[in-house]
Order: sequence, then structure tokens, then C-alpha cells
Amino acid sequence: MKYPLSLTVNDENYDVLVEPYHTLMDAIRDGIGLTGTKCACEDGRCGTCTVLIDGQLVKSCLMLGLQANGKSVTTIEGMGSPDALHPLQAAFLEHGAVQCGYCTPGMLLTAKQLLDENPSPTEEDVRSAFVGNLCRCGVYTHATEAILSIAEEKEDR
Amino acid sequence: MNVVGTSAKRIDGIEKVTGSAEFTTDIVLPRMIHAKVKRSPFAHARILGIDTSKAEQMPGVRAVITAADLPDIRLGILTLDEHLLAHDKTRLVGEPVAAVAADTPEIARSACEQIEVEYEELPPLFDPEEAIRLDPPVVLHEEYEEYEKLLEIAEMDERPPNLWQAYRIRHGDIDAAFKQVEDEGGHIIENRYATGYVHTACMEPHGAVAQWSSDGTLTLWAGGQSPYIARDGLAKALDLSPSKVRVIVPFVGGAFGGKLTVKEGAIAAALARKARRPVKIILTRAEDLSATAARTPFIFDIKDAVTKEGILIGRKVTSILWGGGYSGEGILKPIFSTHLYPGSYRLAALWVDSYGVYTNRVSGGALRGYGCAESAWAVETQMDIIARECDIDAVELRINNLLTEGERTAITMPAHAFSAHECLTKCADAIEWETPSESLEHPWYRGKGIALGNKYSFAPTASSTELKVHEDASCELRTSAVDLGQGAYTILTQIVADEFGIEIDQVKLVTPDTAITPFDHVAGSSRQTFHTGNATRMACDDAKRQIRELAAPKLEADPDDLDVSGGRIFVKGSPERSIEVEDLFVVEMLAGKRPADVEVIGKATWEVTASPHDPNTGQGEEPMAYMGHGAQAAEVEVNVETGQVRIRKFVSAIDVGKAMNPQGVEMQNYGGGCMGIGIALHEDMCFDASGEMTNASLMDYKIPSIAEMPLNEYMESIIVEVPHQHGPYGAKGAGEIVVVPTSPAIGNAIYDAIGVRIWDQPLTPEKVVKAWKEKKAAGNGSGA
Repeated sequence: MKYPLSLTVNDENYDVLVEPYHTLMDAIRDGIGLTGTKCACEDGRCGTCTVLIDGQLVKSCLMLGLQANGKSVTTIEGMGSPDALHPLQAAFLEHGAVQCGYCTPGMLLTAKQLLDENPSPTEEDVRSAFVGNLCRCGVYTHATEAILSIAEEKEDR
Repeated sequence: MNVVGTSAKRIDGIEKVTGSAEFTTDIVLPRMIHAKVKRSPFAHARILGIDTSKAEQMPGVRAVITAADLPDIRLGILTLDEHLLAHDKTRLVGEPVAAVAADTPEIARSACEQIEVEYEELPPLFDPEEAIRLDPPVVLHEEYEEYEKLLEIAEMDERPPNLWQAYRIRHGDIDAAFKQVEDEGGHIIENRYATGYVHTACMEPHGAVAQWSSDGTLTLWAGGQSPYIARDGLAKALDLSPSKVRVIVPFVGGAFGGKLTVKEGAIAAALARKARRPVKIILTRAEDLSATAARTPFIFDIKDAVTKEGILIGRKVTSILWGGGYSGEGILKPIFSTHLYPGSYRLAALWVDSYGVYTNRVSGGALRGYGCAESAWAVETQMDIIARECDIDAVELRINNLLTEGERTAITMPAHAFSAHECLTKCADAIEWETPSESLEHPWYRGKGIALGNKYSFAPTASSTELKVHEDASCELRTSAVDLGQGAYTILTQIVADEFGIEIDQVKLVTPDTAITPFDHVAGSSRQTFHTGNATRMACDDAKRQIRELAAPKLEADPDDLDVSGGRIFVKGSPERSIEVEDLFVVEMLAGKRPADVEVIGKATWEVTASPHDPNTGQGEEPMAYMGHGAQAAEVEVNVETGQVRIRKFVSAIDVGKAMNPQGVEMQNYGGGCMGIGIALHEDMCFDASGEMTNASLMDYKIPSIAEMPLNEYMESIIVEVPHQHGPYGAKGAGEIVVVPTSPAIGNAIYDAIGVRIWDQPLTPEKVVKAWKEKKAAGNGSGA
């Protein structure tokens, strides 16, 4: 039996019906239809389904949809748009941190949360923030470069 | 305008960073239902009966299929040995036995549990050396002789009943080589090497969406590496004409060789036909890792004849590819792996016996490097051992044995655009090869290792493209080349922009759809830039020829005297005599001319033929499209108490002929190195005694994370450009060579650090500690 779920995603309110066993990832992808949040491992290892809830990183495959009732969620669709990319999105493109692109949304949200908390991270800070995000194409070196480029820009100001 | 050779940003990047890129997993169609597969729990069993009645009666279940619902057709790449759903036997844990389509994935999964299959368990066979015996304890395919085979294998007096591939190389006088070395007191060096079970573990799992039209046409969306291989495979599996199958490739979340065929797509299609509804199938991560093709292990026995001066004059290899229940996409690996036995080296005599056998484990498939990455592990470790045995520096020894431009390798491949020397020396310089690693405090030890590699790109093969020029002078490239993340779409776009002298954003790419885009063999074997790149240039030429012919009367000039660039057609040498491409179209259209006069579509096919190798001698004319080169070096830190190996520094130097997009090459160098590090150190599919994979999750099957990578300042990408005569702008592929030398470079570095060899991949902490303890016990363990 489905239950009502009310939540805010990228500043828009949604009321959807979800099964009690549906994860937040299911609710976002299938219930709301925002498919930028990806599913890859189903057990919390890979970080592909990462979203932000009230500014905190959450692997949306590890949280039940109904647990997010009343919460405010940010997905990749809320991070920037083609016309107004978030600086991290632009930096990922600039520095070659995107290959197949499947892990990219989760990586970008992890990077956003890192910079929101720590605008000038060191390389070690970036590495510890990213241990929960897997990328089979191996963009780690370039992603680190991209994030540090933004951090440096902030320092320059 | 020079767009080729610049680090143009990827054309699919905006969609990927904003989350709007649509992958197979994201596709939703009206009335779409969901499929799940019932899989065999046994590695080897006879199917006595299947009862689907309980599943069919469950609410929400729309279709259930077994082998009885499908044509009795065996499938495969070159040896047709596999049914889509198990027919009478299952030969590996996880083999599909039945499938269900239901309103939700959860109902489909529950329904699979309600399908009752009666099995008669048979003894499984896991050991490849047992499997290859003439009298094996178990035979997997009793009907092997009746199977359709599209490839001749080496002649044998008697075929071991579990053998599906045999290939020999007979080059030079092998006995004379070994006798010479024995007589003059040189070195005979003999070792056994093995590789492990590795999975592509793409971030996007295997999946497909199937939909039938009322006219009996099947449309399948699947993120595969070749829409045409997928189309033909679907047609064969479902006994359809290929013209009745349309395959569309959405964004692909990684492939690496693991998405050559779309078996799960065929299952979805069969369910969709029965249910009369669109069907989506997405494998779970556990299914993806345990039941789709893997890079299965090789065993290599190598014996080398080396002169006192360190010249390799003879090599004997026996190898067995530990195949699974079916020959699968690994069918050519026992052949392609032999390319590395000569590799970049001059070898007067080479004698190879290479086999592939069935066992009751996961079937062998492709994974970045297709056999070459595996044999490089053996060959390039062996070169390091030879160097130490001969007391010659490992770089110098390799250089002393290299071929030169224009020679042929022992497998008759012409050494053209031969860059091994340059890759090796640049790599050595970057890792400061001449400077020994610093000593660290016990239990940590540091060391450096280096290795060469090759990747041949297969032939015969072909790519076709179409290039439509629009009224606004923008260009539309129609291609079935697939961007798996490697950047093919961007490079092809750069080529069109370059050829027409227009901006990249004036080029539109029509991505793979067999109803629209012409044939392209496959996004595999590092072939997209080379082959599709050539086809794209040729299609541009053809379109420009048509434009020149249309413009010639207007400019009162001979078509050959005209040039097309930047949206204008002008007389060579007199650029003031010109018209806009736009004018050409508008005028002709208003005049009501024939479509042929107002539609410019350039078409081209680039084809590379090859003389097949004789499977009994391994000799032919020019067996492959091109030969790629690369070298990699690593500096490692080894903890002899915990066995941990950290990669401190990593250098990848590859020859791409012409760097079409230098940043793209750097992405391959780093990304391939990352995958290579995982394969070398920790990626390992594990199986229990029943043949079931025990670590089928990304939590337990460990692909590299950022923690395994060196710090950015210790990652170095080197681009070597030795142009190939047939490459577009001289370019060669980069996608696979980047994982070929990685494992031996790391293994050689571990030896340099602590003086132990580990012969079988992956080089896990347990093996490091064991090898170190054995060395200490042998009274030789005072340090590195």
C-alpha cells in the first residue's frame, strides 16, 4: 500500500505516493521523475545517488522515501542549469572531470557540500570527501583539480 | 580553423553535469512494465522441468517466459553455444532460466521466486587444467561438435572435449634458439604467471528497454557498444529479420568491453512481445557483477631463450584462458593475447600454444585491452626478470630488444609508427628512472617499476558515416559510433568542424540509431578515432564535393577550383569570388529543383581488410588495423607487515599518433591508470565451492576509489605523437593501451621495493605478506 510523501526538491513542493519500502532514490527518480540522481550500487558504497538534505550529504539509496517527509532535498537538477551552470559544474567540464557522466551528479553534490562547508579545502580534504564516490572511468585526478581550482579562485578574492 | 588537436570541451558535457543526460536506466515509456530474471543457483545442472504456473497467477504479472517461448537457436560471437534462456542444462551460477515481466520490479522479483525449476545437479568443473585434459572429469558441452562455428581453430589430433579455442604460433626455429643459448651459456628463464577474475563494473548496470510496434518492429534502447552487433544479436535470438529491429543507444554509463552484446535486451524483447507492453530490464548490481561476462583468468607458462648479452632470441608460451560456461565475447582472446608475446620486441623464434576452455564459472568477456592487458602482465614481468638475470638495466634491456620501424613482428605485423622507444624513454625520464627510490623506515619500502605495452586494433572492420549540410551551413554527422565516456562524440565533432572550417557548435551529432545512422562496427578495440574518424573525414569530403558541384555554375568555375570553408564556397586563389552555402540552398529550393540538387548528404565507408592469421602458425600478411604503443611506470610504497601497496607516483606515456583532443588523452592516461591500479592490486571476483560469486557488490568487489590514487602532483600524463600513415591526421586510439602496462609496472616496482615476485594477480596484501615471509624464511630477508 502506498503512503503520501510531501517534500521539497530543489525548492519545489511535491506530493507523491510511495511504497514503504521505496528508498528516497526511488521517490526522486520514479515518484517525482527527476532522473539526474542515479542508481549504481544499491548499498551505499558508490555515492552515485548522492543528494543533499538540508545541506547534508545523503546517499538516497540508504534512506527510505517516507523518512524524507517534510525535508528539503537538493538534487543535481537543482544545482545549476545549462544557462547558469554552478561554478563546480563548469569546473568539472573545464578540467576534464567528466567521462561517461553516470557518477557525475553524485560527485558534483559531494563537491558542493564540501565547498559549502569548507571554501578552501586542501587536496587531502578533497580526497577524504570523495572516498564515498566511485567512478569507473577514473576521473579522480581531474575532479580534484576541478574542485581545487574553484577553491583557489575563492582564495584569490 | 584548427579544432582538431585542441582540448575542446566535451559536446555532451552540459547534459552530463546538469543531470539531464538520459541513460537507459532513465527511460520511461507509457504502459511500461519491468522485467526480472530467474537464474540458476547451480554451476552445472540438468533442467528436468520448469513450472511457471504460480508466477503467472500472481497479480501484476504480465508475462513469464522460459526457453520454450523462444526459438531453439544457439547464440554466440563465433562459436554458437549458448541459448538466451537455459535450454536443457545450466552451466554457471546465475545463468538465466526464466524471466518475468510485471507491473513493478518488486512483483517481477517475487514472481521469479515462485517459478519452480526441477534440477538434477551435475558435478561442476572449475579447474582449467582439469578442463583441458583429453579425459576431463566433466564435459560441459556434449553437443559441441554440432554447434555452428564461424572461426577455424588450430588442428589437433584429438580435441579435448572442453576446449573451444586453440591457436598456435610457429615462427622461426625455436629449438635452434634454445640450443644456441644453452651452447653459449646464456639464460633460459621459465616462469608461470596468472591473471585474476576482473569485472568491468560499469557504474551504469546492464539494462534495456524494449517496445514492439504494431507492424512487428522491435525498438530497443540499450547503452551498448555497438547498435549493429546488438541489432543482429536480437534478430538472431528472436528469429527476426534485422530490418525488423531498431536499436537506439542513449547515453552510456561506461562499458569497457562489457556491453558488446545485449542479452538482457533480448530477454526484455521476448517478454515485451508476450506481454504486448514495453518492458524495461535493469540488472541489479549483484546480477551485473556475477552474471554478466567478466575478464576471466589466464594461465601463462613462458620460457625464454636469452643470450648472455641480454638479447631475447626465442620464446615458448603455453597459455590457457579460463573460460566459463560459454565461449562468449572472450572467444578471440586466446588469439589476441598472443600479440604481446613479441610485443614491441624482435624475436627470431616464437612458439605459442594458446587455448580456451569451458569451466562452470562466469563466461569470459572483453575488458579494456582484450587479452593484451593479461599477457602484458606475464611478458613485461618476464622482461624485468630477464634484465635482473642479465644484470642489465630494465629500460636498456628493453631498448636493446626493440624492433625498428619497417620490421615485422614475429606475428607478421609491420612495425609502423613504431614509438615504443620514445614512450619508454619519456616514461623513464618522468619517473626519474636513474635515481633509486628513497629508503623509508621499516616496515615501509619504496621501489620503481616500468613496463611497455601494445594494443593492436582488430581488422577486418568498417565504419560508415553520413554528413548532411544544412541550409545554415551547419553540419549534421550521423554515426553509429558510441561515446562510452571516452569522448568519441567530441572528437568526431572536432573533425567535422575542422573539415568545414566552422565552429564546434555548428556541428550536430545524430547519435546511434540503426533506423537513421549507418553501420559502424563497434566502440571497441580502440577503433573509434581511427576508423570512424577516417569515415567522418571522407564523408565531409564527399559532402564538400557535392557543394562544389552545386556552386560551380554559379561561380562560373570548375568544381575542382573551388573550396568550402566557414560556410562559404570560394574560388581557390580568388577568395572574393565566393557565395554563401546558405545562398546555394535557398535559390535551388525556390526554383523547385530536384531533391538531389538541394540536399547535400556526404556518405563514406572506411574499411580495413586483413589477411586472416593461419591458426596453425599464427602467420599472415597484415593481421590488424594498427599497433598502439605505450609505457607506464610506478613508484610504490610497500608495507611488509600489512602488505599494503600504495602507488606513490604514476606515469603513463602513450602514443596516439596525433592527439585529437589532448585533454581527452590525459583523461585516458589517468582513468586507464586508475583502472589498471585496481586490476593490479585488489580487483578480484571471488567464488565459493559451489561456483557462486561471493563478493557481488561494489562494497566487496573493490574498484579503485580516490584513496588508491597518487596525489595529483605525482600523476603524470605524457602524450607521444608518432603519426600512423592510415590514421586520420595520423591518429591512433588511446582507450585500451592505458591499462596494458599498468600491472607489470606495479609488480616490477614491488620487486624493486622488497625483492619479491608475486606471480598471480591481483597483488593483494595477503600475497605480499606471504611472499615477504617466504623470502625472510629463506634467509634472504634483510631488506630490499
